[in-house]
Amino acid sequence: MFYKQSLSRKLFNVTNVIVLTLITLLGILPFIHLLSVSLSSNVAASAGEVSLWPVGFTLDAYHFLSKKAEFIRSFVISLERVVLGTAINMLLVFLTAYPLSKTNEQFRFRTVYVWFFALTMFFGGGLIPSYIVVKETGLMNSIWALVLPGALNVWNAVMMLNFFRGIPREMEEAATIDGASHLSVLWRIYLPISLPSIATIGLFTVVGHWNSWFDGILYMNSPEKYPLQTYLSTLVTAINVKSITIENMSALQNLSERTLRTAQIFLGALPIMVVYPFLQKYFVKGITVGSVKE
Amino acid sequence: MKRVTTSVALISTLLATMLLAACSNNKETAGESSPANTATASSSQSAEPVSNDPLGKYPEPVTVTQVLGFRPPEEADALQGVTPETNGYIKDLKEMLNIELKYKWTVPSDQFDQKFNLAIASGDLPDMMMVDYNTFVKFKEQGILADLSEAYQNYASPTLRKIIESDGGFALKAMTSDNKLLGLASSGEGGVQVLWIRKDWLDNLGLQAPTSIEELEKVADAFVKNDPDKNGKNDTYGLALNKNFAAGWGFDAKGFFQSSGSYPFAWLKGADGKLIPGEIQPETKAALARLQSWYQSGILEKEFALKDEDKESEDLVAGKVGISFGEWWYPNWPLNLNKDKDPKADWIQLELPSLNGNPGKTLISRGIGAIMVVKKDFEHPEAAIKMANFFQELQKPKYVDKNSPDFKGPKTGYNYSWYQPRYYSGFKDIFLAVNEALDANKEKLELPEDFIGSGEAQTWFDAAKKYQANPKDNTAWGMYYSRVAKDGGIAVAEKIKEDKSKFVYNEYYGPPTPTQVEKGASLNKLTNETFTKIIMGSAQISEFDKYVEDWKKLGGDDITREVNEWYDKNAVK
Repeated sequence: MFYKQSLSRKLFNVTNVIVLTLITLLGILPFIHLLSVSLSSNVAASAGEVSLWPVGFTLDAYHFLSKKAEFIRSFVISLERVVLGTAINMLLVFLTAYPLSKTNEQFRFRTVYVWFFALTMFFGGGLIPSYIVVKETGLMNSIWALVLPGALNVWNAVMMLNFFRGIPREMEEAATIDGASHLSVLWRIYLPISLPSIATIGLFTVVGHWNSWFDGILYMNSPEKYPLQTYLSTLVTAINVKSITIENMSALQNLSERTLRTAQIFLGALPIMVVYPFLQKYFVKGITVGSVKE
Repeated sequence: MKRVTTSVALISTLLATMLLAACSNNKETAGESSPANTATASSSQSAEPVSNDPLGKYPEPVTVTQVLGFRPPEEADALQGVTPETNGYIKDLKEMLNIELKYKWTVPSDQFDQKFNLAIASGDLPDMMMVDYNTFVKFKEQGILADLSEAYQNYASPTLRKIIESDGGFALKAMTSDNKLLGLASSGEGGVQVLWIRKDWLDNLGLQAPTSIEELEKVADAFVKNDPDKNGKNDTYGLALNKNFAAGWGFDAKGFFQSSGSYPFAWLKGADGKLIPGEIQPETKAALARLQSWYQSGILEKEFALKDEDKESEDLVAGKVGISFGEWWYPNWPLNLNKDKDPKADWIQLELPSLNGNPGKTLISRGIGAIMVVKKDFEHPEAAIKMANFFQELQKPKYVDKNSPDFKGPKTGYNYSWYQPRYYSGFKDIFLAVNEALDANKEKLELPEDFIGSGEAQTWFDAAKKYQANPKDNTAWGMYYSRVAKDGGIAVAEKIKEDKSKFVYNEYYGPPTPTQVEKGASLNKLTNETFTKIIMGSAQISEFDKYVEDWKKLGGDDITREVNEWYDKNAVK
């Protein structure tokens, strides 16, 4: 123990633990609630009786889901998207960040290129021009429409660039003297050193791809091609009508399937929850330790 | 030197990319101005119709493009794996009329508006669309709609005419401009407000069903204080209410306001023949004052302002509240779930209570249903009318009876709810026909060949039979009590509509006026906030007078003027 257990320190510790516990609960309770509702009977859920423990325990919702083709289909599409999208994003981030991390002497007009990329962080075409570009390039209705727009995340590239700049130049020079080309410097020196920031950016990318839903609605022409979050969003959207007609009665029926909705939302959030703890250690390091020790 | 060349090469590549982007933009604008799309190309000139037969088959295939917002089929026995593209209706449409229906895209209904607006903005519209009145007006002003007068005159089948013109020509007139019929729609009347109340609770406390606001107040008070569910706990309150109490879709105070002669967000004809906005009338002030006193005495839940319709429905299901204003469909949802939870629960519906001896008048909003429009450059506007005829044809009794060899329903891959356009007439004939069959103890519903709405009738009849066989089946009860029962939802609503002293019309059904578009949202917010504050007692009732001043000043007067201009010019009187 380096610290004397003074009163003020004890007080600080207690407050600290309480505050952090509260914040943790704020994050975790909604998930526990979701899980409990999904494991409860439909009547109890519709009556709003379930809070943090299932009422009338049943696995019906999950049993039904395991046979529900739409859910499984969009789950697979989401997985495809994450794998493909993350691979492309990361590759482009490396290939952009490496040359831009060089000095102006090594790479002429470097600043011009940096501005070229940076500009897209501040100005975008907006929804309709983006839609038209995707439509005219024939990407509509294919998984590429979800992956290619935004294939290069400039913000991530800038983070990577700054990380690369922290790497001592001597290492690159040593490699070059030994006959390494730029590509092998990137692959064999820079990337292995940058594991923390790769994990950080990788996690951002994976979560980003998994959670994005709006582009699914925009670019997919039929619901069979929706990724998971787009599909989920169609389940939870509240009905917004002035009065109910026979036509939208079925939306009301949907509202009463609370257990089913929560089960799907919970399963949708599960993969990311599982991945998070494993990447957490890199995540913290990647942000705080921005450079290599010399 | 080498480095300089690479740099130049790189920069020129970048420039080239930018130019390319610019070029493809140009190409797009060019594409927009001449929206000749490939899908229609296959409809050739030679495919002239041979006669004016409403269901005449084209000699050459005619391609029609549409877009579709859809929901999965409601029917539990619907054939699995059927998509809008493989819908049986589309197959038959090709066989019977030689019309090939192609969807440019399909999307779940909730997202339809978003996607459709995007399609409008990018100029990528199908040949034939179902739109709402606002979009219709927009398209009309842009002049992109085809004139359907001739096609309607020559091709509409008698059944279709009967449905469209069942409102005495109201919809046709609203769709006509400069003697051109620019869209086809049927008009409908919005739901009638009634009062739903738990009969078993009334009986538990030995109370009569309330007929006036004063009696309702006594009953609600008893529901709060006298433990109506006899569970020994003080866990009930009086009247269901959610935060959208003046303009929601259920469990709200619309019915209460209307009982008090107040019609927020509606336009009624005033004494001088001009339309007046309901939210700023003195009746609204009186109604709010009463709600304020109800809030204080605990008839309203303290937390109502935090709940939306969905959340409020939980309290009805849980048996925490036994009175709610609303529409005919409640038994269908959520009252059926309440009966699942509490088998003793028994709901009845009453007409709106009276106030000071004046009967409560419900508000009926006349509205135009989904409007079928056809793009001007589409070569076969009559195909759209034929497609409407086709839908009515497939509603004939022999196609909707499950036991018929010609049955075309969800079970055999025919999903009607994905097909457009479809028009329906009112429920009244269906109600009478189904009840006649039930009274005669028929096992099978027999309808005349030209009966309109036999599909709906069949569903009602089946539900009623199911309920008779098993009174514990609460889903069947929901269908039966909302639609078929003689004291149920539709029966009471139709009865109210027959008595002119029991309803008033909302006279404005036009598109949002310019000031409404600009300031409507903030005015509505002002209204909702003020009303909520008054009910919860954080503002005195005298605040209402200040609110009226503000409302007028902040654009309300302009809106009133614009609404009246529209009314003088366009309203079908």
